[in-house]
Amino acid sequence: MTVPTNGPTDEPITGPINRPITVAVVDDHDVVHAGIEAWCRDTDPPITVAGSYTDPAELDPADLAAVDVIVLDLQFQESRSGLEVLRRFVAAGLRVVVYTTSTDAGTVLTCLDYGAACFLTKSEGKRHLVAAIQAAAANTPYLGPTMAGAMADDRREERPVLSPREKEVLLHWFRTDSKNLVASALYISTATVNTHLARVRTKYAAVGRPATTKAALIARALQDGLITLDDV
Amino acid sequence: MTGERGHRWYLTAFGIGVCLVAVVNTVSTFPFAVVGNPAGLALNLLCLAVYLAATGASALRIVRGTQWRLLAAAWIVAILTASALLRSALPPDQIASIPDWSPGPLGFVALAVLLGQRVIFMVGVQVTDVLIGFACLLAAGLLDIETLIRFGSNAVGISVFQIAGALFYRQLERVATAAERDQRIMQELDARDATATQLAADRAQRSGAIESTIVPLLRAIADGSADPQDPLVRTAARVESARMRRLFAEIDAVDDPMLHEVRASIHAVERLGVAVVLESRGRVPALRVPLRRALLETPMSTLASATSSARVVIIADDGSVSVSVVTDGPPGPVQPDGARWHVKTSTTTAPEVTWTQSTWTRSEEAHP
Repeated sequence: MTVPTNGPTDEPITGPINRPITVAVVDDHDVVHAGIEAWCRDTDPPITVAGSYTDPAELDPADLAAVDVIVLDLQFQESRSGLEVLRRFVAAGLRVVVYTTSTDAGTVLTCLDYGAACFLTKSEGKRHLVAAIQAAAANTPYLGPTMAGAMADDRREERPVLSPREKEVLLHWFRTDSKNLVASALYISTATVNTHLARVRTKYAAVGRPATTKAALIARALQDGLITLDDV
Repeated sequence: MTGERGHRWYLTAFGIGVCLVAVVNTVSTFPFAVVGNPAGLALNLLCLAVYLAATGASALRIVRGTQWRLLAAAWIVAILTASALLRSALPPDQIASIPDWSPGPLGFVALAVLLGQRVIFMVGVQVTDVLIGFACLLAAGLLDIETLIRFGSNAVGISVFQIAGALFYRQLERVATAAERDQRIMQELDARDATATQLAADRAQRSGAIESTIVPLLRAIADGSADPQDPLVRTAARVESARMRRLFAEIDAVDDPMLHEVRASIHAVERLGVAVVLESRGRVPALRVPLRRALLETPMSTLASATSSARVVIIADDGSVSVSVVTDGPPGPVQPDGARWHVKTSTTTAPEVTWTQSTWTRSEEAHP
């Protein structure tokens, strides 16, 4: 997998962002747009919603090149395939956080394979969405509980090799949605919980079909010392 | 022997017996002296072959237990035609004598072919055979009293027993069908009886499970020793209410009873304004009711004690099932019966968070 040096915003892709993060929301429900805009406004520092779209068909990925992160639903009223939209966006180098109602493990793993930065269900709410947007903008890994559940139950041949401890952390994160509880149950610190989750997410970026977003995530993980070249 | 065909083994045995008698009768009646005489040899051999083939096909059908109607008619036409051809080719002086062998075994062959069919068909075949014989006599001009008496006694000898055989088989088949129906009804009654007994036992057990905890609580509220405004009493009432809903859900016929019972508990707390997220991974194997209760009791009590939010996660694989509940409320009472069913329960608390988890792991002693 090749590691790109520049992202769609022409900023160093492996470095931190020193300006407000911008997002575009693609979802066919107005209430979702309103909710995400409110959450972004309340975040410190605030996240700027650069665009809200209800129909992905009318959207040219090139128009979103200046946006840091796309928040994408997978289900549209016109029964347009959300997965196809995701594939198109990722191919254009966009960082996509999938934010949908589906909790199906197969859908989660397919989205990750396509190159989604993160997969969140709508019940996972503000805390996870804001963190996932911030992580995606910085090309750092973020892993929500539903993603963890899908990864822990992954039986595909192309799945990455996880250590028993990593599987344990995944399952406990899926069960509790609380890093404090995971840390307490496994007698480790929350920082160690975060490290395990980040390593698992990076391992997933290293398998399956290649994507610019996956390569950027791995490059950043290497830079942060989260993984070594031997791990990928 | 069991099963529908198993009860009919004696019908099959009778049928095979008839086929054996038909073969022995055909072979023993066949005039082997004709083999050296080219005149009429072909027709004799044709008749022999048709008789044996019809009997063989009948035996095969009887063993397989299949039905036939058109094929039976075809075989009857074949044996009557073969017999008629042979008899019409015989010299007049040989009618109703040893070379006129084909009417003898015809009755047994026809009986083998027509086993299980209406007896009137068998009568029809025998009457046709007699008429063919009489036509041959008529054609030969042998209408003297002595020949007619011999012909008549022969006709009775080769018909009556075979028709009686067809009648006997038919009645035997009716008896077998009636016996099977009676047995099926008895089995259904037994099954209903067993189900009713099991349901009554389950109901008594559920009632006992509820009465041991809910009745003392209701009594305490009724006699004023428990204050409905007391948060502890309110929590106990929520736990018992959710428990009742889950136990009532046990009687529903659903694909995944455990998930169904968990949903019943979730509905109970959602009505009180608790936001619940339910996630599951893997398919829960079929677990017995007491095991499901041991697995669900403590986590569902914690769920019922939730203040405003809860996360319920069920994870199953081939060898284990875990039920995890995280809430912003206190832990619920612990189920004391878990160890008996190889269920391990743990509770972890952090500030304003309670996590209760029960895990059942398959072992040789604990059959689901």
